Amino acid sequence: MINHHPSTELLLSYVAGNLAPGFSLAVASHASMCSDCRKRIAHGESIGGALLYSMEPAEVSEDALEEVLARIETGCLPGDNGDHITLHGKSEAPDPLRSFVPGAFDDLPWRTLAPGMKHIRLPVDEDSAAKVRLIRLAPGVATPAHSHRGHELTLVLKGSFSDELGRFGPGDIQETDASVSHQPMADTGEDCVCLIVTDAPLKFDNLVGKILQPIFGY
Amino acid sequence: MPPEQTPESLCDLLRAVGVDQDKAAFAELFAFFAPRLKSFYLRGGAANATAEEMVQETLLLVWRKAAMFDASLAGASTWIFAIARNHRIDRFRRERRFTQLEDHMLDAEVAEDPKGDETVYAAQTETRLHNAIQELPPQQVEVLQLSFFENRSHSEIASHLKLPIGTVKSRLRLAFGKLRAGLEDIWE
Ligand SMILES: [Zn+2]
Repeated sequence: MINHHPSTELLLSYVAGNLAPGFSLAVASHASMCSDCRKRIAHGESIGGALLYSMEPAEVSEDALEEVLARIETGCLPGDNGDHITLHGKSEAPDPLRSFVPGAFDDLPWRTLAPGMKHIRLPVDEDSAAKVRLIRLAPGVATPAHSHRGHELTLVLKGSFSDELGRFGPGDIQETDASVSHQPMADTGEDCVCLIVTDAPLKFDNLVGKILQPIFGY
Repeated sequence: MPPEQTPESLCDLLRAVGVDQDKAAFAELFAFFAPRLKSFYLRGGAANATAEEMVQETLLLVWRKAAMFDASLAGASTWIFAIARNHRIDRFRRERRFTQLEDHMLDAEVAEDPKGDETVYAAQTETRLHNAIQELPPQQVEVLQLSFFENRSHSEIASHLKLPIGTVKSRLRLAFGKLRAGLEDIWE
C-alpha cells in the first residue's frame, strides 16, 4: 500500500519534461510501482496534448513537408533514446532502474559508508551537482541528521524507514527541500533500500555528520 | 487553408498513417501539427533553424511510430505532445531518458473503463479538456503554459512572473485539480 506520492507540482514537471534526469528516474520508478500515479501522469499528458492542440501556430518553411516526405522515401528515420532496451532476468527493482539493478539488491557492489550503511552511486547526470544513489540501511540504523541546500527525493524500494515526516514503505516517495531537517532510520527487521536523488550537497546537523561528509560524498 | 481538424479527425488521420501508411493523411497531420510544434520548440527556447529541424524530426518520429498509436489510450495531440516532449529532452541531453511517458500511456489501466466506444474515449477527453482549459482563470493557464511549453522550473516561473514560488505551485495544483474534477466521469 503506497501512502506517499509525488506532489502535483513534481508530477507536472515530470510530465512537462522539466525534471533533471535523476529526479525523472525517481518519479518514473515510483510510477512503475503506483497505478494511481500512472493515471495522474496520463492525465497530465492529456493536458499537454490539449495545450498543444490549442497552441498558436508558428510559420513553418514552405518545403518542410516535401523534405520530410523525401526522408520517408529514403527510409532515413530518426531513432530516440527512449527506445526499449530489452533486459532479461528478474530484477528486484522497478523497471526504470533495471539497467542498474539487473538482479537482487544483495548482488550489487555495495560500498560501506558507515556501520550498517551502504551505498552505490548510479551513473546518472554525472556532469551536474545532482547525486543519484542507492542507499541501504541495516535495521535500526539511521543516516546522520541532515537538512538540504536543494531538493531531495527518496523512493523506498525495499523495507521501510521512519523519520520526522512519517513512515515510508516500498513505493513511497519523500520530497524534501531546504525547510526540512530529518534523520531517516530503517524501522523493521529487514534492510531498507532507497533510491535517493539530491541536487545540492546536504547539510549535516552535527559533528558525526560533518565527519562523514567527505565519505558520504555529498 | 487546411481543413478544420477536431480531436476525432486527428485520431482518424493518425490511424490512417499507422495502419495504411497513408501519405495524404500524413500531409494533413503535418499541416495541423507542424506549425504548433514549431511554436512549442520556439517557446522552449530553440532558435528558428533548430526549431524547424526539430519539427521535421518529430513528424518523422510520428510517421515511424504511428503503428503503435492506440486511439483508445491517448488522443492524437496527447500522443504527439509526448513524442515532442521526449524529443526535446533527447535533443538537449546526451543521456538516456527516463521520462518514457509514451509507455505509461500504453498502460491498459489508464483506459480500463470499457463502457461505450473505446476509440472515442481519448479524442473525447481531449475535446473536453480543451474546453475545460478555456474555463480556467487566465493566471492558471499561464503557469500551465510556462511549465509545459517553456521548459521552466517552478522557481524560474516564479521569478519570471515576479510571484512567490508557493503561488506558482498552488496555481498549478488548482488547475490540475479542476481539470481532473471536470473530467471525473471519464477519468475515474
Ligand atoms: Zn503514486
